[in-house]
Amino acid sequence: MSNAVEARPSYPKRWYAGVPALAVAFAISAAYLGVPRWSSDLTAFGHFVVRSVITAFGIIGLVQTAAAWSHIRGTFATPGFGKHRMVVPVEGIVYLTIMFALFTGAMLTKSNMLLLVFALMAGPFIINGWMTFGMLQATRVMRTAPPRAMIGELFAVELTLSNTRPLMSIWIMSVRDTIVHVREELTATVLFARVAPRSSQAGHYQLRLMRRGRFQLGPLLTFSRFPLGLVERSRLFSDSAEILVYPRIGRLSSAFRRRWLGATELVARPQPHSGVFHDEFHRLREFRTGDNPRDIHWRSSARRGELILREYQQNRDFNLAVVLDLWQPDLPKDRNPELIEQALSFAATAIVEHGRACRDAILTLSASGATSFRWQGQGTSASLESLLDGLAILQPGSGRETIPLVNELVQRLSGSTKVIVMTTRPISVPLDLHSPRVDCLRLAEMEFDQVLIYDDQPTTPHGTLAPTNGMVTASEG
Amino acid sequence: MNLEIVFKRSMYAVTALTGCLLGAAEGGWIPYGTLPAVVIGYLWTESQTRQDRVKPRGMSDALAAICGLVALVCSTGEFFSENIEGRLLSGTHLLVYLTWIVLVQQKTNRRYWLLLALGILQLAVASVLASGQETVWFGIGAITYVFATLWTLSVFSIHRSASQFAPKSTPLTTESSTGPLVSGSSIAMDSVQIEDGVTWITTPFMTGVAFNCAMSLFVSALFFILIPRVWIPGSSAFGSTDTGVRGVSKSAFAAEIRLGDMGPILESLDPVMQVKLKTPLRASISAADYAERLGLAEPLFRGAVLSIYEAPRWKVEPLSIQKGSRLIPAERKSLVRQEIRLEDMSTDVLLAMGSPLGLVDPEEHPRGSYQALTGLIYRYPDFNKHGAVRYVVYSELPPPGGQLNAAQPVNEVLRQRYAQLGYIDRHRELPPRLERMAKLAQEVVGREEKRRRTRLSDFDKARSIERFLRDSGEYTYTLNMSVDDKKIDPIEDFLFNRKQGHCEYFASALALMLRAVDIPTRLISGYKGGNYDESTQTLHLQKRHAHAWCEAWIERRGWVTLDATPADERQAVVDAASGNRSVWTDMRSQLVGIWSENVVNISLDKQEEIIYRPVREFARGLVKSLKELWESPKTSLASFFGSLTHPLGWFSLRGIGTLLVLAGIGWLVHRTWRRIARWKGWSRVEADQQSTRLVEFYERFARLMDSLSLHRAETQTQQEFANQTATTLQSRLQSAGFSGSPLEISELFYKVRFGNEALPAREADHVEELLSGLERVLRPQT
Repeated sequence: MSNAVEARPSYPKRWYAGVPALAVAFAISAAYLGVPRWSSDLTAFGHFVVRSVITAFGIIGLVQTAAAWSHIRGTFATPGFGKHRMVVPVEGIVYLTIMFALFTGAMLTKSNMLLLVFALMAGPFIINGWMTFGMLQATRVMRTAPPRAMIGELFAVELTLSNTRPLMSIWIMSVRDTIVHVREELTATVLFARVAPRSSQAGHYQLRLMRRGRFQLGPLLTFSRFPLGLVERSRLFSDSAEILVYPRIGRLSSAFRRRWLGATELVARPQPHSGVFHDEFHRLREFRTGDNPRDIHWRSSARRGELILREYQQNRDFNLAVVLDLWQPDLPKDRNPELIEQALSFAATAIVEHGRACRDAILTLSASGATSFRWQGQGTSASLESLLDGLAILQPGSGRETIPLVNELVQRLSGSTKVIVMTTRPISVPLDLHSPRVDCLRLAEMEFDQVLIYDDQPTTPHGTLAPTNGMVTASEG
Repeated sequence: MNLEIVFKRSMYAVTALTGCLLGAAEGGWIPYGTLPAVVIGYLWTESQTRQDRVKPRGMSDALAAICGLVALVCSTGEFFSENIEGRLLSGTHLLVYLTWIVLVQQKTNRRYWLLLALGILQLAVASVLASGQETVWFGIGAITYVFATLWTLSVFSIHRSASQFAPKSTPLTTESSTGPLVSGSSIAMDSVQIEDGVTWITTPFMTGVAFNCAMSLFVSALFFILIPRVWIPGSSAFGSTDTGVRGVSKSAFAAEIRLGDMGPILESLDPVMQVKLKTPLRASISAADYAERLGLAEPLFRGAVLSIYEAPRWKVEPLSIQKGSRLIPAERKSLVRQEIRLEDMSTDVLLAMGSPLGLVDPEEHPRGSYQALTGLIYRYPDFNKHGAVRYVVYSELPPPGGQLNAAQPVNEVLRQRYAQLGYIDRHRELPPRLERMAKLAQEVVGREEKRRRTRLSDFDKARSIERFLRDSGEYTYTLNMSVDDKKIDPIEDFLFNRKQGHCEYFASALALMLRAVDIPTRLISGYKGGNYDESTQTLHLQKRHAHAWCEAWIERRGWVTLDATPADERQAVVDAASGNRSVWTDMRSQLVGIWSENVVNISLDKQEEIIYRPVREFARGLVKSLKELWESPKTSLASFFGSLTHPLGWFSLRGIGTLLVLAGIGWLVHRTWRRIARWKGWSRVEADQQSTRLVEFYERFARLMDSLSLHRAETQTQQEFANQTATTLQSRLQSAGFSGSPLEISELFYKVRFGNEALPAREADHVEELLSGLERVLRPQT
């Protein structure tokens, strides 16, 4: 598990960045080697200093040139090139220091044997760098991530590492993915032990995203210290993806649902059929004792020679329009992001549940926050997806459009549509609603844990829920 | 085997190997103490039982700090109480003590790194201690160390990664609680993808490490060969390079020699020098003929003039180390031209026959000076001090029948200089406690005078003592040295007890006996004889031709060469050194020669000869060929194809170079073509990889079944195989709720393989879930 944020190094941009240092190194070398009378008077320490200065300038020049060219190649070359990075960890620095000491010692003592040990150290170091670079060059990484997820949902992102080399395997290669949200950044790493030549390996990391909105995935950083662990080389793949995280959908508590259903009685609509809820003809059947004689279908009874009853079924489908007032105070210290998320989760749950219960019902959502969002559809998954897409990126704000939205809905929608305003405003901030058809839910006053249940949340003992607060079934003045 | 065990055992084995290498190089017992420390450290800190795992074992940090302090104090004591070699050893021992302390401490990754760093430093010290000609064993040990260390580091790399990705807490599951209901911190769970399920150390891994080792050694060899030996001048941390760190002479003409040191050299076949002589008329003359002209029985090459005897050593007189005048002959046509190649002897002295009158390099630039006091020639400081050197010496060609045994021409100026400096008188000095030897010398002279019934001249006295030692039969030549009486001077021990020895003893005895009869004498070390190759008219000298003799000052004659060593016996031993050699000793000698020439003593000259010059010439040839190709393409191409079809052309440096260039061009063309093909979209590689990737999940399933010894028969469809596996593994799958998984996987396989469509993200996740579940159930992690 990792939450480290990778630093992005900056590189000099000019191609001639390393030239001055190299020129100095060259000039000193020329003077040192080309004019023996200058160097002949130097003591051993003097020789050592001069050679160290030449080496230092040379290394600085080479590093600067390499960095500059790396940048230039990265700018103009095809994707995948010029994205290499190198980090020498402490172990590598110690190793290089020992190498330097041995080389200096060999030069001072004129010892070929010491130089042999230096060479025996230098060879593995070079091969280490070459192998890691070769592995990274042959690496191709692909990510497969779900485009949408829900807050708290556990899902896997697949990373496929391919080895394009014909002969050499890729060893101990880590692929680090960066997952960025406006409010957090995290990383996930998959370690691939070995990818055989010309083959691929698929690994995956698990994610549980706890924030709503867009998560940007990428870039992918492949890195390895194999085989010696002295140098870490990495390569950046600018492969990006996006995961849209929906507000969490739970289920409404049974107590709340009962009150919800009770409230539907108040929906003003015509009663064309026999009972309040017996609004839909279901079938004809034989009369049984206890049946209402008023439901006898006389024509059918005459035709069949026995009493036939018209049977109706309950139809509680009603259209639902939710006005979500995502209001938040101007002062950041007064804001309550938790409430906003709970409001979104509640609204989404209410609409989804209603859509599930009333399949043909028309569902409408008008949300007002930093921006407004309107949606109308039915409880099908395709339709709901667009609703959740909208809710995923909705941001709270001043809620100035809430009243116009309510008024528009009341005028536009039929009488069989239940209009509920869900607001995050506290009672101290009034919401001027004048329509009797509108219910207002003061979400700030609600105890969500007793209204909204998530599957992984421990339920209240005995399955009973405390009475909900904040549910106002009459319009507010 | 378990990854952790492999890693730890490798780490301790490498540490033990370092101790052995250092012990062998130092010759002391302290580094070998690492072996028990390794065993104790492993048993104490690493071999923990399951119950002990939580409790760290090993020396505490406080105690380790105290031990470290004690080690530092001990090493400091050694540092101040010893000579230069002792100082180096004190540092070495500090490294060893620190290694012991780290070995018995509780291990962390940092401490493992520390052990490796200490190991490398010990190897470096061992390389210094083992400096010498016959250090092939160190080379083999160092290569073994590289293999062992690379293996350990590779396993360490895997071990660290495996530890880093090991599950630290309960993995995320769909059932686990997420903390806050709506908001909170998101969680990302890392994972490991192992190809073969659970095994880290596989055959491909071992092959890969072997390949890595081989490549590393190749690059190391290139590094070693290509780094120009431009040493920092004027520095030597370990004192005189002539004597080496261990105080053992590396050549026969060191500035200081200890009696007996020459013994091992006299058994060595390592080449020393090659000499080609030409007369004034540019005709070849054999070395034996030239020696005869010089009045010598065999060619003699003077290397060091040793004047001071401090038992058991002979030393060069400090005054005689001063450089002399430049050697620029005026008329070279009348002189003998000696073309000499001298292997690296790490001294300024250059060898030659006779009295040198001029010394130049092959390009005829003056390269040396003449030291009149000793008659030696020295190279200029900038003339390739280290490594083999080629030079030309011009010397006089005496007429036949010249003065016998003349060692060095002495003119009046030199006589005055000798008198001024008291040089001759210092060569009469005899150390105390050699009365018995002096008495013997006088007896020998007295016997001769009695026999001749006349008083002997200095020259006759000298010859009589020389004959006594050489021809009396009382003293025999041998290389098997042993000391009979350690309390007396080794020369007296030779003269009166042992009566056996090699040239050093004969020469020393002669020199001291001559001084005892008041004849100024100095001891000369150098080379005598050699193998003359008629075909190339070259005299080849090897180390076994090393020799010591004397030069006595005879007032009217100057320095006269005297050699008390029995020539026949010496020749027999020298021949035996090359004759009675088995195949193994020959091979060993060859190996030592190669090692000595190409590793221990590689020099800038040698590099120039075997690398830089051929590369330069090849580059020039290439440029020339390209130029010709540009100017007359037809002829050049014809010539090029002609050389390609010539089979012998390939078996040469040029052929190898051409092959490499052609291979490079081919590689470049191939690479460019691939780039273009990818750019233009002609390549099908990506598409193929895509299609391969799609059924990867079934391959994973098949591998899993394979590990359970369930293999799909060629006649079986995937679905039939799934049914078979479901039936076979019914009990295990059913209890875990995966009974339908094989069938589901096979159905998805058909969808992908024959439906030619990619799995949607949800189904891909589902497949991943199924496979992970199956792997968890059927192949528990170890």
